[in-house]
Amino acid sequence: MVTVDGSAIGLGLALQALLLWQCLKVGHWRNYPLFFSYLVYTFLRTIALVIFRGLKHPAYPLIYWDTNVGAILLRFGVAFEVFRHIFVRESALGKIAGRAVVLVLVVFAAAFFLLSNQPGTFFPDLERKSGLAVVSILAVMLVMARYYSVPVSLNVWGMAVGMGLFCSISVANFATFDLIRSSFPFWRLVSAFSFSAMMLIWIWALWCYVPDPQPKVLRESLAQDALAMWKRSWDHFRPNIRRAIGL
Amino acid sequence: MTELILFGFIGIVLVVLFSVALLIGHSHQLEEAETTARLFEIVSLPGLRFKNAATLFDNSDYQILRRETAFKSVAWHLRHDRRKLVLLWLRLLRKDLLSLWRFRRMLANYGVSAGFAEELQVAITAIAGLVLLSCLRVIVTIAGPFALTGLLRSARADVEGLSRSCAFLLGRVPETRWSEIQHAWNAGQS
Repeated sequence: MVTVDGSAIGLGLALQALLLWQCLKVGHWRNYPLFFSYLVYTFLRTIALVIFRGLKHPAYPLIYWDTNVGAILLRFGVAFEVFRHIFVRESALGKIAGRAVVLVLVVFAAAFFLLSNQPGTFFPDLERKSGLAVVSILAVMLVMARYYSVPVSLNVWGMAVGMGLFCSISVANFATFDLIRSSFPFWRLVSAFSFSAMMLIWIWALWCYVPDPQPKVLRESLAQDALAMWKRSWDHFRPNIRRAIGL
Repeated sequence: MTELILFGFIGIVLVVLFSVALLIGHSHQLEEAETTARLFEIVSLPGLRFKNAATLFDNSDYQILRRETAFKSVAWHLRHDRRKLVLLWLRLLRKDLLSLWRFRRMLANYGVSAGFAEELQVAITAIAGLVLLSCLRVIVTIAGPFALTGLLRSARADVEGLSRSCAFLLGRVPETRWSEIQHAWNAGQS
């Protein structure tokens, strides 16, 4: 188990180094600063953890969980990075998407407040809840982009799917950890390998820089005509059915 | 315990969904899918343009034919053909609804939108409309094109009958007591 554990950590570190090098080479640190911050933070954290682990330092568990809080916060930064690259903030669609994300956060905040006295340790609980919040925000953004046919660049799509997959595994994994405590060695491996899987997705999606597609704009007069036409047809829809079936 | 199981379940569902998204892959066609020219594709709404849809559900000719023994088979054919027409019209309406919905989303993508609440309302109305049309199609397929009208007509007749009987009863009450009855009714409502 120790060998597998070491391999998982080694693989994760190697993939992080490769992605970091690629990001510096391509210039992703300029285009995706929040994403890059997360990457740098997790890389430095992994190195620090490897050192503390190697030294068998008694503060290792404490450092592991305390530094994890920073990573959790930066995951929200990655979600925000995805948001600002999919939706133009000042656009009508950007405002709608922003409200949808705020709504998701409010719902989760209320739900977590009600579930605050659930069993389990503090850090796995934090990991579960924050993971669920991040993955829900990402899912809402991807669904909205699909719903409104907003083009998403491969870089941003990979960022969202990679993080979404990692956080989903994290939610399931930390729930299992609190349910079956004996699964701890297995849980540690799943956690490490899911992180490596996220790194692989990111390396594939962010190998080259793909600029965000330009937002579409419509001439004001044409937009008003189109909207008026839509309203006319839409308002006719229900009365038409009612009249036909004799309601 | 229950919450942990719920978290575990949601986590697994999300893992499956994101894995599917990963397997489907990044979609390129979205970028070129919608062009400005297609904005006016909406003009062709054949289902909504058809003005005489009420005649499709009208069963008076069918009833006349059915009463005559010699025309019973003609009545059966009429009903059969009418069902096909109604289903075709409902299919066209569904297509129109989907076009309208897509058009609305496209307008929002072009920056024409009244906000979150209206977008949500449009989405809910569209989904409700699709469910209604699907229900209508099922009813027409199973019970025929005139069943719905017959049902609505008999429901309306029941309500009208009840209303008439109430009016008859009220007619027997002296006018001086009407205000008392109204007061009792209002108290009951509150």
